[in-house]
This record gives sequence, C-alpha cells and structure tokens, in this order.
Amino acid sequence: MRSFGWPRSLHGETLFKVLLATVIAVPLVVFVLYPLIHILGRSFQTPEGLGLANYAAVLGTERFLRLVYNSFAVTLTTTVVTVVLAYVFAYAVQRTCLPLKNLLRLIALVPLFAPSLVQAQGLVLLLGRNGLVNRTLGTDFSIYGFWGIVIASILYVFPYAFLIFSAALATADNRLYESSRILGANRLRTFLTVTLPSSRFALIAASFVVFTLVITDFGNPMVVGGDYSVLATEVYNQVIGQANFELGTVIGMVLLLPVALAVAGEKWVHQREYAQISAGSLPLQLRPDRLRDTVFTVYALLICAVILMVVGVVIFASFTHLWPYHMGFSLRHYAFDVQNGIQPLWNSVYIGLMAAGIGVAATGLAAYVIEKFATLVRAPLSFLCIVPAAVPGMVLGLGYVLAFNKPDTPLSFLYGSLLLIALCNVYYYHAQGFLIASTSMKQISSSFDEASATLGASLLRTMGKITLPLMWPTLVGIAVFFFMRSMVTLSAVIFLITPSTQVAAVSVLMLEDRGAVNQAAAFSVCIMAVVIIALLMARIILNVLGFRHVTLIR
Amino acid sequence: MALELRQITKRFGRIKALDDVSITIENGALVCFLGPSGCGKTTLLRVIAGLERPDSGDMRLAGRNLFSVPARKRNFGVVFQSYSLFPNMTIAANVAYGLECRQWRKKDIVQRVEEMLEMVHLKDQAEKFPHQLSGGQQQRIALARALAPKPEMLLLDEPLSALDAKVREELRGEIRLLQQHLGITTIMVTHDQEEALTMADIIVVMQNGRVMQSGPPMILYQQPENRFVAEFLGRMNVVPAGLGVPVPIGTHPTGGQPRILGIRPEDIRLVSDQKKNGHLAGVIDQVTRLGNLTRVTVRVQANNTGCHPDEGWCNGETLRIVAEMQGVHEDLRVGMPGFIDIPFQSVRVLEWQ
Repeated sequence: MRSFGWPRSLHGETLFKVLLATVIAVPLVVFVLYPLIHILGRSFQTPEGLGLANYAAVLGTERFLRLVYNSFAVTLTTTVVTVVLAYVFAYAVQRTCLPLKNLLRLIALVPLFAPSLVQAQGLVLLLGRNGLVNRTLGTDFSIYGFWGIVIASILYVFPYAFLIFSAALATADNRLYESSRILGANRLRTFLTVTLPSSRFALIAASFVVFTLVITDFGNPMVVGGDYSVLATEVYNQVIGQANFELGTVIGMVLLLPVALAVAGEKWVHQREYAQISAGSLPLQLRPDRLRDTVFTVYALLICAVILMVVGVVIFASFTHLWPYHMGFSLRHYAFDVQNGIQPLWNSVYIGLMAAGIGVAATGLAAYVIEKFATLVRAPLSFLCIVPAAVPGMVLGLGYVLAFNKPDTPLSFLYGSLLLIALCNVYYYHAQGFLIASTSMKQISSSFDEASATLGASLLRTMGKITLPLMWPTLVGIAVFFFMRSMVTLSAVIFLITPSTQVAAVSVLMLEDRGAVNQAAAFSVCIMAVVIIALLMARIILNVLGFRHVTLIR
Repeated sequence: MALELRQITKRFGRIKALDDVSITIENGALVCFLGPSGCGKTTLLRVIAGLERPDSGDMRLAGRNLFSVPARKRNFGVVFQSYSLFPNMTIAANVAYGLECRQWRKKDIVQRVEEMLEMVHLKDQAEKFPHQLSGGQQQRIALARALAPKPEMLLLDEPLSALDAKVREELRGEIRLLQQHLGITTIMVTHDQEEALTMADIIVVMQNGRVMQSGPPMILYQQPENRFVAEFLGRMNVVPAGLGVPVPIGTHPTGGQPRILGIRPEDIRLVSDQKKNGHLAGVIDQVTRLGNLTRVTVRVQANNTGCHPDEGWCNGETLRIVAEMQGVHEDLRVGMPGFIDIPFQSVRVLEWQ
C-alpha cells in the first residue's frame, strides 16, 4: 500500500478554501452565537451569583402561566385560521380559472411591503374606540385584546402562508387528475385523494412558519393587544419598561424553545419532502367551471378587500387632518415635525442598503463554501447558517445589547451605530437568505465547475467567470429580500435603537403608542413607498436584462 | 506516452466503485470504457481526469506520476455528458476559455478559436450562446472547447447519450475521424455496445468496478473470456457444459472447474431432423421475422447437465436457445419440433462470471 502526501500543488487552493470558510464562520459565531451565549448567561445572573433564581422568579408565577397561555392561544388560533384561509386562497389562484390572477396574488402579498404592525394600525383605525366603525355607527365596541391580536396576526402572516401554498399548488401531475376523473371520482373526492395529500408537506411547513412568526411578533400585540399581554410584549415591557434584563432574558429563553422546536419541525418536514413531479409528468390543465370559479372569485375578492381595507385605511389616515375628528385632506403629517423628523426613514434606508450588501456577501459566500467545497466543516457550518431561523428577533436583539453594549470589549464600537442594526438584520434573516442562495447554487450544475477546472481554471477564476455571472440575478433577489425585511422589521431592532439611530418601523410604534395615529400612518406609508420603489427598480433591472423568472417577493 | 493505471481503488462509502483496476492506454488509441450503469466506468474516467481522487493505486502518464496533479494542471480535454458549455458565454468565449486560463496572447486565441470552430464546422455560430444551438452542435462545441488548448489526452464521458439516434451516428463518425486526424489519445465512456464496437481501437469492459476483459473489439466479440463479456457484447446463448454440445478440441472443460459454453445465435442452424447433426432437440417457442433475418427461440429440456442452481439450471429445467438465420424461413412455426445444429468451431468456453 503506498501513501500519498498532501499534494504540493493543492496548497494554494486549500489555503483559499480554509480562508473562505473562516470568513464565513467567524461572523456567524460573533453575531449569532456570541450574543446568544450572552443572553443565556444573563438569564442565570442573579445578585447572589449564577443560579436559577431568575427562572424560579418567573416560571412559577401565575402571571407567567397566563402569558404562556395567552401566547399559545393567540398563536394557535391564528395558525389554524391562517392556514385554512391561505390554503383556500392559494387554491383559488393556482387551481381555478380566476380573473385577474396576478393582481389578486399581488394584493395578497401587500402586507409584506409594510411595517409588521401595519395590520394592527389599520385595525385600530377601523375598529378601535375612535375607529371608523364606532364613529359612523355610534357604537362603542373595542377591538383591543385577544381578537384584535388574532385578526392583526392573521393579516400579518397571511402572505407567508400563501407563498408556501402557492408554490406547492403551482405544479401537479395532470395524469393523476385525469386518472381520478376517468375513474369516476367527483371533485371533492379528487381533492381529498389527490390534491390534499400532495400538499400535506406544505400544510405542515406553513403551520410551523406561521407559528414561529406569530409567537415572536410583538408589534401587533403592542398596538392592538390592550391589556392582553403575550410573551413577546412581556420581554419588551421587562427590558424597556422596567429595565429588568434578567427577567427579560428568562422570558426570551422561554420563547426560544417553542420557536426552535417549530423550526426544527419545519426542517424535518422539508427533508422528508419528495419530488412529486417526475420527468414524465404533464402540466396541470385547468378546466373552467362556472360555479366553482364564481365561488372562489368571490372568496378571493373578499380576502383582498380585507387586506386592502386595512392597509388602505392607514394610507387614508395619513392624509387626513386629524383622525378621526377632522377628516379633511391634509399633507401636514408628511412634514414629520416630530422628534428626529424624517431621519428615521433615512436611517432605515441606510440600514436596508447595508443589510442588503452585507447579507448578499454573507449568505452568497456561505452557500458557495457549503455547496462547492467538500470539507469536514460543511455540516457544522450549514447548521450555523440556519440557526438564526430558530432565534426570535427580540431574543437576538437583546443578545446584541448584552454582547456589544460593553465598553471594554473590542466590538463595543459597533454599539449605537447603524451598522450594528444592519448586522442584526442580516443575521436575523440569515437562514432565509442562505437557503435562497444555496438552492440557486445547487441548480448550477457542478459540471460547470468541473469543466472549468479541466480547462485549467483556478478556483478564483471559476468563481468570477462562471459562478458569479450565473448567480447574480439570485443575488439581486437576496439583496431585495434583506432590504425589504430591514425596512419593515421591528422585533430584532427594537432594543438596538438609540435616539440617533431610530428607524422608521420603530417610529411607527412609538407614535402609535403616543396616540399620534396620523403621523404613525404617514411613516408606514413612507416605508411601503420605499419598499415598493425598491422592488420596482429591481424588477425593472432584472426584466430589462432578461431575468423575468427571478422571484423578488419572499 | 502511454497512460498506466495500476491497482486503482476507489470507494464511495461502502460501495467499491473501482476495485483494483489496472490498465494501460497506448498513445494515439481510442479506448472505450464499456459497461452497464454503475459499473465504475465514469468513476474511472473522472479519476483519470483528476476530478476524483482514488483511495489507492498508481497513475502515470509517460512515466510521470499523475497522482498529485490537480485536474486543472493535467492538461486533459474533457467533454461531459451534459456538454456543460458555460451558458453565460458565447460559443467563441467558451472555446477561448481554456486558452485564457493558459494566458495565450489575444491574437493567438482569436486564431485558435477560429481554427477550432472551423474544425467542427460551426464557424458561423461563434457569437451565439449555447442555448441557441442544437444538442449535436453543442456537443461539437464542447469538443472544440476541450481540444482548443491542445490537450495531451481527450476524455469523453458518454458524449453521445443525450442525442437522437441520427445525430449520434453522425457524430460517432466525426469524433473518430477527428481523433485519428489529430492522433490524440482518447478515452470514451459509453454503455452503448454498438458505439464501442464501431469506434474503439480497444474496449475495456467493466462490471462492479472491475475490468472484465479488454482488447480490440473483434477479439472481445469472438473470444470473450467470461459470461459477462459474452452477453454484454452482442447476443450469446449460454448453456451448461455436458449438455451434448460439441466443444472445440483442446478446450474441454477441465475437471472441477465449472465452465459454461457460449454460442452466438448467428452460428446456430436449425435442421429438420435429429439425424442431420441435430445436437439438441426441442420445440420452437417463438419465431420473429426481422425482414431478411429470422430469429427462432427453441425450448430445450436440459437433462444430464449437472446441477447448478446458482445459475438457474437443474436437471429437467428448460433452456431457451436463440438462433438467427438469414432468409425468411416461412416453413418455421411455433410448436414445431426444432433440432439444433451447433458447429463445434463456434462454441466458446466461458468462465463463470
């Protein structure tokens, strides 16, 4: 048996690979694990040293049990209702002959373009004590509380569930449907035996995604929750209201558990998913059916009407003189004569641009290293890349405060900067960005790399001449994703803002909290406008260059 | 200049993709690696290309150790099954890619690209993108791209399998002509025995990661050493020794070692009477007329054969023997008795494999 030493000529490339893997791993450790370790440590910190006292102080109390109950009640109700509503909506769009499909699809996605509490904002304007309905009808009912949160949350997560179902229902094997029809099954039976089973993975995945989003959301419960507290709002109240970091971190850790489980569940389902379309499949042929199409059209229009109404009333309120007393047209709220003026919007734009740039580089390189290099670190590295998906935004944000707001640590200079907020957004949304990049990387056949290598190209040349040119439309999509999320997110950045680094979405919350609903609405409208302009610009660039198929809205 | 592989072994997990493979590839030859899917032929090609690292073994080109040379420094032209033309580059840029990697001068690159495109008759397509070309054209460009940097060897991984029958046949001839014209040592992986028989100087038949036999096509066809090669190249009737089939002198099965006999269908004659050299008697089971060729299957009771349950033969079991005869033979019908005449010169003694 002869032995083979490490080949000399591979040295350069190996070094390059190690270097790239390090460039990916170090920031993930610093900006994900390090803050998480801090938050974990802080939760055990008591005046008498390390211990479980904080947990003991929280876990047994009646208030805590009620918070857990409330959180789960809201989350589970929302999950069930949303999954049903969104599935039927996706079915209407993908499987029936609906007029104006593209428009309806777009309307369903509108909540993604708005700050994550815009639903609550709209609900308060419509159904609050001073809302449109109470005002016009002279009634006096209140939306604040359980149902307020549930309705706002449904609208908030609807597009996420819709996107999952839409993808699952978009493709099907027509032969199955033909066989079913030939065998004499009626439409209901076909649905129950063919359609529903083939979308069971999507149903489970969407349930987990919706669950995670709702249980960690705190913008909507803050605005429309009234006295009804949930875990997420309690973290905020403990930390911001009472400066009680210990209890805040304990509840944060409690929140981490169900989220981590849900994310693990979603990944597990994803792995068991198998391809339902084979090379021999025939695309689904939709056959018009007047009764079915009418029913689904009415349903889709209703859903769209509700979404548009809630967002529309926010836009409307931003242009009124003084909601709800003086409903005349006015542009005065766009003067932003509040503390900091319009600066928070610009801050958001800067953060969004930074997050887009850093996010593309981080997730693109991570996907490159993990997909292209068969190394021992592949498994731990890809685990590290998707860990952030299991961390609630507030928990990560709180971790950043604890980790970087320490004058004696080398990275403390980041604290109080827009850059740190951008980094927080990048690593909060890292898992999604990474998955987009690695899916696209997988689709680029490895034989291109091999062809390039056999023609004599170095790794760097292959990367620059082949991989990057084939990847860039996807990278644009990832940049748009990070920009969009950075513009509208609330939970990850809420603890990180300082007066000079205020961001627009937080401004909406603050103004709403103060009762300045018109100005809050104006800020929301500006955020939506920026997001839509960015989307349009990216879309136009991609279309002009011939990449119509690249998805931008995720 | 020969390429020598000695005892190459490669495992993927628990599967032995290459099991102690030793071959020598002579300069200027076109060698086909032939075998069913999963036999290790593509892995062997990838090992030679430097895309796969063998677990053990020795690999030399003209005496120079290739083992530690990475793919990009081997200077082998590789054509992949899926062509793998870079979709973001024009045809000309694709062909120029390997030359740019070798830092040729611009003027020389332009000239060489033109020369290569002319060679594959696609000069007018230079500014198009790969997706605008047909499959056959793309494969010719892949060939031009691989040959442009004047590689020491050309490696083709099932280059024709994605094309339709007609284009495939055309390209077969073209590749062979080009290869002979350039005199370049070429290895081609294929699972298509016809492709191997028509193109190769040497065929290497592989199965389960091992080389079963290698040699010129006609030698492999006429003198297969084992059952696998016999059945993989063309049709072969395989019968147990001791059935009454005559055996060429000097090849009598040696005692103890189980042997089997192979007879090509075209060597078998059907006679109407057992007395006229009918070595085996049976019943006609199937008659297929393929134009001027008639294929007849005869069911024969296998008695006194010795029991080889591993091979599915036992006393009293039925053998099916296929004969192919020129002509229409209208008189042959299913159910008729069939007497089989086997000229002893055409019987091959095969190893159990």
